[in-house]
Amino acid sequence: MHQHLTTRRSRVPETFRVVGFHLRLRPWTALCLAGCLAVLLLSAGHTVPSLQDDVRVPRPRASLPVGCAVASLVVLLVRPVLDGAERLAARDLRAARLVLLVVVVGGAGGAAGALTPLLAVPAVGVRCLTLAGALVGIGLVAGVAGLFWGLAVPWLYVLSGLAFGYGSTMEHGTLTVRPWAWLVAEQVPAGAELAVLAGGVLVAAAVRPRGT
Amino acid sequence: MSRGSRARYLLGTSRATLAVVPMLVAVGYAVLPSLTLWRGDWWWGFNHALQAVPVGVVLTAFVAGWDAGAPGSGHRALRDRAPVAGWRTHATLLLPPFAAAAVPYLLGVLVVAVATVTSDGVVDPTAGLVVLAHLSMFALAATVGVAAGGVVSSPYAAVAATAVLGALLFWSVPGGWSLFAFPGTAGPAVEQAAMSSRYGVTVLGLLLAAVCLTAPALPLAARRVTVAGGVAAAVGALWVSSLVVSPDLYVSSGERPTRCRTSSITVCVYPGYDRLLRPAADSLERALDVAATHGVPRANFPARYEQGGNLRSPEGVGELVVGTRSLRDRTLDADAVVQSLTTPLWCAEMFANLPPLPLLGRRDLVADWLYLIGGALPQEEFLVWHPEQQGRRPDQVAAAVRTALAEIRTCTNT
Repeated sequence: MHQHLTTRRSRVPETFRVVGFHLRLRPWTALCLAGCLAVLLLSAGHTVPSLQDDVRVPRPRASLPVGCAVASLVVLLVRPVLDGAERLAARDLRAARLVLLVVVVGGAGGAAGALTPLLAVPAVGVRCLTLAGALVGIGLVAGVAGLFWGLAVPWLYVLSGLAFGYGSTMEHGTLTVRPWAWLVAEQVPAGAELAVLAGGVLVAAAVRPRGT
Repeated sequence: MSRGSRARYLLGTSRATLAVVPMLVAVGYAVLPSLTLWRGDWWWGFNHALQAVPVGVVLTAFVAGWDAGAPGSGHRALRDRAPVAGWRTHATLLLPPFAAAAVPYLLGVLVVAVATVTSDGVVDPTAGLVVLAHLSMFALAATVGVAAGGVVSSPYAAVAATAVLGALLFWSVPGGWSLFAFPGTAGPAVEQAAMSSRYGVTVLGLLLAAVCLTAPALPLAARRVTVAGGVAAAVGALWVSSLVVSPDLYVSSGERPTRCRTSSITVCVYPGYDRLLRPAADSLERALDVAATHGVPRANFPARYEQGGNLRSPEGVGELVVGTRSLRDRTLDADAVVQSLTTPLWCAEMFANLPPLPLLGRRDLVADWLYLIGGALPQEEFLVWHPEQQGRRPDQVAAAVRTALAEIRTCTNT
């Protein structure tokens, strides 16, 4: 009977059942993620006060802190339901983890992306989503070291990028101030941000989670 | 549980021991590079060191939330396993995250103070208010984390506390600033850090908010409703404190330099820079004398020069530019003198998003002419930069410089 349950045919629905478990057991996190994505889209194009009392430093985009919150919620949503159980499990759950990550990240991002045409400037909304995606990727990669770092590193990256390490250069007669943190700067290609997200998904799927 | 075992339990379970590492890295990054370029300027180094504060604030909230919400060692576990007075439970959870940020921060400030004193600089005691404001920020962050841990368990408490602190950090108060007033990175920026009313309001508002958040956590049976009430009271306290001082008052309270020396010109500096007064006035007067002998009387230049000029500089008041080694060498180098004589910071165009190229072009003509008559720029190179002066006699070039200075005075940018 046991052997029958673990045959190739029965593993496919079981893989998808993992997604169901995560979403059913964490409804509030999923709801917060949906709310956070709505705030991300509604704040597209807006800026927040600068942490630098320096007129040369441009005001940061609102999508930076909101994107960090999105990254935290995604990392919370996809972490194992039973802490440590997956590390002790005999079965390889990489496929299930990959499906979970693709469904959560792709589903949430796709749903939010589908709403961007409703915005005044859809391109700005798409940029906010790709930025949040890159921060999710960073959180997933850092999550390999443990949940603590998976949640903390995107915030540390963005906050330290906004707080210090600015360099100024003259470009075409204009003084430009750039932060050291690559994603905090204005001109990051959307493709590169999506590549960071894809890398994060692959790493998080390939490495067994360490737990907290 | 004895005091010693409580401390061991605390350090063994707290994530604050992990948070010290990124905090030390942030403080080190903000302090150590500026030490290699040290020039004895207290505010310059101090402002650089303070850049680590936003990272520390968020890290404190995250760690405090994580610790307080931990099922095995957090708020509820401490309450159930070792029942003591509520304030002791609260302090137990509050102190490690607070110390993890405050100790590296104070260490960084101490390093800057020692480096300033050993470089023959002077530490300005008004900086104490800024330090107090930042310690209040850490206290508020730790209190928010502990309050979050009383409502939800970690890791949700950590994320909730971080989100609340992020919202407060980027909350726009009147004037478009962050509620948490942070000094800038550019130059000495002393006038930005010495706005006592701004930092006074910050300290009061943050401390009041921390107290409001602490109150519901004191009773042993802290309920979610009382914690939510504390959060609401804290946000209200912060909101009211941010409205207490109007933007106009903020701007007018920006302290201008008060240590002045008047001869044929007036030079003013901030406390701590007094020993620069005489050398700066002498250097500027020498340059003005040379300009007068070459056909541009000193009436064309500003008669008053203030350190740390900014958007609030009155019309016609020049900025006393303090060079890289001015304070240590007790002299203004040629670049600092020329910049002081030519930079029109009273013009709003200087702070626009796009550089005022026509205005800067006029400034460059005056600056290069000063280098030319001072012997620092060869005639050929001057003509390369300003080909329109080709073939003109020295008195005609001086007339062009006088015209440029008059247009700079009126901020002509066309």
